Amino acid sequence: MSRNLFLSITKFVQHLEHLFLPNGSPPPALALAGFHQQINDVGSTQNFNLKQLLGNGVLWAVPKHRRTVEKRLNRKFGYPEYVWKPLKVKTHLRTCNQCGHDYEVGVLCPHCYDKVRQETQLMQDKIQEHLGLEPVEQEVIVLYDGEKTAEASDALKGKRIVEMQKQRPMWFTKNLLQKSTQQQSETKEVKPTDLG
Amino acid sequence: MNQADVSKLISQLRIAVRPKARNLKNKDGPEGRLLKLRKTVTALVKHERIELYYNRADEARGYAELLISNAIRHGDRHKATMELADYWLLEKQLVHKLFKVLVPRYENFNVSYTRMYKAPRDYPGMYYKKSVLELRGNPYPALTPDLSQNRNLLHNVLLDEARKEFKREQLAELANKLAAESGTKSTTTTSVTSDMPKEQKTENETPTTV
Amino acid sequence: MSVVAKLHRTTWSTLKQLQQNGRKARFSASATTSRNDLFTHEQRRQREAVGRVDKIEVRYMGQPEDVTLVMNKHISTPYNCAQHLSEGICKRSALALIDGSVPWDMHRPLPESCTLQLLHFFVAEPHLVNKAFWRSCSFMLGAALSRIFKTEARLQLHSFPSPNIKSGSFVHDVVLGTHTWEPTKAEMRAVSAEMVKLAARDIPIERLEVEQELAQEMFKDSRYKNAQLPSIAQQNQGRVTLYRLDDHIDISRGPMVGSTRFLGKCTIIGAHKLSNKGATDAFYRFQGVALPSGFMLNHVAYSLLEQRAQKLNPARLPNEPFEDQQQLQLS
Repeated sequence: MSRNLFLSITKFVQHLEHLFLPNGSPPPALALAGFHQQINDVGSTQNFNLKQLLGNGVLWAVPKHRRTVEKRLNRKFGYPEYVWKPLKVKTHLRTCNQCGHDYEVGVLCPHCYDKVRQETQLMQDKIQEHLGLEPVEQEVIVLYDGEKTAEASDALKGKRIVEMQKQRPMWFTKNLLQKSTQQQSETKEVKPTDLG
Repeated sequence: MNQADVSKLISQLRIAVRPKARNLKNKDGPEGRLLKLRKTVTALVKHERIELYYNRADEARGYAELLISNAIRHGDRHKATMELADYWLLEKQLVHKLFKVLVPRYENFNVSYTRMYKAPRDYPGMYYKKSVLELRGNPYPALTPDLSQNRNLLHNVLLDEARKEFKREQLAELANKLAAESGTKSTTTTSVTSDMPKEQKTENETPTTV
Repeated sequence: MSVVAKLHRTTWSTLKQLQQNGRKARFSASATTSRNDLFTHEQRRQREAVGRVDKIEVRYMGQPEDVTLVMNKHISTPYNCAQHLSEGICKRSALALIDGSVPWDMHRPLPESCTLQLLHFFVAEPHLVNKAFWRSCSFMLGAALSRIFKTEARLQLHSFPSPNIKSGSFVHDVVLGTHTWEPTKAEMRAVSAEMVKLAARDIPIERLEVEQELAQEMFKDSRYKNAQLPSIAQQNQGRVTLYRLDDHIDISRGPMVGSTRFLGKCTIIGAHKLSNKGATDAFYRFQGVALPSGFMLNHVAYSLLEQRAQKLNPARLPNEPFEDQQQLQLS
């Protein structure tokens, strides 16, 4: 209480001083005129020594404050939610059910894909061997060794047959080529999926 | 007009289309980008399965879908479609393939005409994602295992049995209806219905012996 | 000060309540704890009885390559063999196949040199692993039911018949202390949720073979199990195979999948009253359908499976006389 009163009174006095002495009151220090002058003189002669200032360059750009341990560790290892610098656990790896190799979720299995890619490349080369400037007008059917005679003739009608000079790979099932046995329905009911 | 026909009046793309086209970087500007996309679409129609970087594949996929969809809707007597095919297919013998091979293949499709997979990339290597773009119904080996082929998998066993039971119920219903309609045929129909539980019983008993 | 006092009082009262509840629960759960203690004790005794560690050669056949592993006799399990191969194979293997024909639990020690195959749900011939999965589902259903019913319901697990996937549902028969319980949808959903919780916790399913006397001791307060034990033991040279999931122990012939983790989509859809048992109790048959984790099925197709699972399963009824059955009732 008394402190507040004292502060408000000093503030008021300062305000009055400011009003009546706009240039400011004399400094509230002891006026040791002679001594003060002496110091000032010594300082001025040393301050303007440029060489000394430049020569002591180590003192120029140095940290003013010590970094805390937390900050140093954050800078070193990153921040889990923001940038995490050490190794991270990958949780999106799975084992392929076909070949047993590991693959990323959502991406084709590298081993299986490589196998398919090589076979596809062989087939594409074989198919494109005879593609010249003639118009392409027929579906292509690829047959492996010993399949041409076994295949029914009407399934091959109107199709270009490309023969691979090798055995069909074990993993490449043939029933993708077979016709479905489903008969065309006689009913006039429209399936919901066929509607707009 | 049937509702099913109405759907053929507009182009249906059965793929997710981005709201904005990708600005694929090219030194020749937009023309270079389009040329590159035309090359991609041409290669897709020619080879039916191509591997390339994801961005370009996703971009070219939309154009290929649109081209096939328009070819199916309008046929080869439509000038605008023919111009479109002429623009997108750089090798002109493939225009024949579009109308004579792809249109019959996809006429009754209810799904998209193309498929896209994310392809594995070398690690460590270029960071860009790779992808495989293919036309459906191609003659090459499938890229993903087809789980519907193995009827012994648990869900297939359950679904097959559910289907069998549904058919059995339908048959029993039909037999009951027939029995109700005519008294003379009742002897034969009841024999059919009495067979049903027996069959079911034998099916259920067989696995318990293991 | 007054706030602190109030807080203190409330915590004190809740603590008291908790203690009382705990005492009540402990009273009802004393049977399970003693059963678990006996199980753990017997398990430890069997492990210590192995004595000198002998080596066996296990020839693993399958992905990624065929190898021969030198393992410990009566100690190493197929799961330990899988640990030598890779983490992915550890995670996905649900059942082992010994010498090409004998299905073997993942956590059951191997007694001698053999060939080993590790099965998962996507192998070309998944009959055995499917059957083991269906059986484990029934077993897990028992665990879920014993957790979810309050003591007032007077639930007693009876048994579950041999797994039959073609019937469309897995089954667990129980006895409830009521004649007139009509299960609501919310109640069935709560049971399903309990199953899902069990699956999420990834609890290993342990197997133990014990003498009949010990089994009698363990199930001495379970009337129905106790009655079943002699005939089960008689078929298996006086020994009974027990399975444990967390603190739930049940009699089953096995084999089962290695962990609850393999349960994916699961719905417990029906609880049918079979018949009355005495003046107060009644037999109920709980049914459900489930798919292993990793199976993607369209929700329409799955709802068809659910509809089918709702119908009463035609498997052997629990109130039929046990000895009359030629086949094993418990599997």
